[in-house]
Amino acid sequence: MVRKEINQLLAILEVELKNILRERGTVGFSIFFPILISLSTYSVGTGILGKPPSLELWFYQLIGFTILMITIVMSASSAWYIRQGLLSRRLEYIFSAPVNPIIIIASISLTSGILGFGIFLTVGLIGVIVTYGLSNLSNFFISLLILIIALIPILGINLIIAAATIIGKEPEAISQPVSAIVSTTSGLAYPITILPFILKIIGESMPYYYAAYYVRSIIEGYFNILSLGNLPFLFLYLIFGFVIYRYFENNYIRKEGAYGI
Amino acid sequence: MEYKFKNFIITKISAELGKGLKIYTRNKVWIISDLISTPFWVIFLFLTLIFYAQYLLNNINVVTSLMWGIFLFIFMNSFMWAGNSIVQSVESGIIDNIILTNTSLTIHLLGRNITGMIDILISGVIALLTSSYIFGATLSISEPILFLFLL
Repeated sequence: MVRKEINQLLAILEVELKNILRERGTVGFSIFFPILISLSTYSVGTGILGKPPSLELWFYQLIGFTILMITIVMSASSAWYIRQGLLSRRLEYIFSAPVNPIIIIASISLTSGILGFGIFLTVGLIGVIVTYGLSNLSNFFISLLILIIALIPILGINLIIAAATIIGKEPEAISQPVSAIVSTTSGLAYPITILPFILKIIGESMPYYYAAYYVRSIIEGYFNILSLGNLPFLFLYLIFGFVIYRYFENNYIRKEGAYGI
Repeated sequence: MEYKFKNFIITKISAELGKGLKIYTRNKVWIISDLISTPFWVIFLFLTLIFYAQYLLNNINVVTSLMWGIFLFIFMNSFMWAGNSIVQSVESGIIDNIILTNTSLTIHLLGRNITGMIDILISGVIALLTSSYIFGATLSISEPILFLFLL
């Protein structure tokens, strides 16, 4: 029974990974983007200060922009999956097939997670070697494990985005405000201490801030095990996301169908 | 004859403007999305650019310059998207039908550009207000007529 479901998950995963590999340009851009933007702001900083700023500061932004890229890829892929599925009637066939929707959603999320992990591995490795040399490489590989755990609650937010796309219909219009709020409040490109109080609270209540914090603190060697205490609460996002998505799926897609959308 | 020709052109322009407005207002979720996103992107751009010299946040001249930089970025961005609309018209097959109706492509682009104008108006004003409210940038324009003319 379980074996059948694992086979289904692997089959969908294979198809989705092939889809990603077909779009090499997008993958290349996702890797290039954090490096390009962080170097741009570094050059702005050099211009303002009149001398090159510390490489640790560049690394701070590089890690932040990489996690931002992962966030955008993950949230946009959930939204587009629902929209394209509705437009092409693909969801009709998927829901009528003897495949549990959870397996479909899990495999789609897993695919974007693998892509995100690949982006982080490539960009992070370049950043660590340039900034710290080979000395912090072991820390970097440990941070990869923490990143995987920290990305799991983010999947819950992706499910909420997928649910919102069922009603809002426009994937970009749904995922764009999420990306804007996450980018601004999560301390990805700058410390959240400089934000107004209300934005700081929004940032601290979402998993993105913790993903960036855990990764940076492990690589730079100031990680405190007590900070992991927030992690179990972040998993509530996964539960909420799952419940909200199932509600919208059952009450809108399955009842009303893809027609007329 | 000349009167009829003018009337004909005005009808076409008003039809294109009507179409542009229809496209913009049809997807209300986009308007809501822009209203929510723009203030956040403005704050993000401000703080990201000034990350290496955060003390400059207290300098009103620097903050005001950054505000107008972001405003011009939105301005240029909207026009670039408007230029891209001709490519979208080709890809979606609209352009063939436009040519068949003997309508000038310039008039067709006008309809698309109205979306850009509304975008500049809404996003630009939000960007200016956000910069002023959050970072204390100065909103006063010493030569408003010249500013509007150059815009």
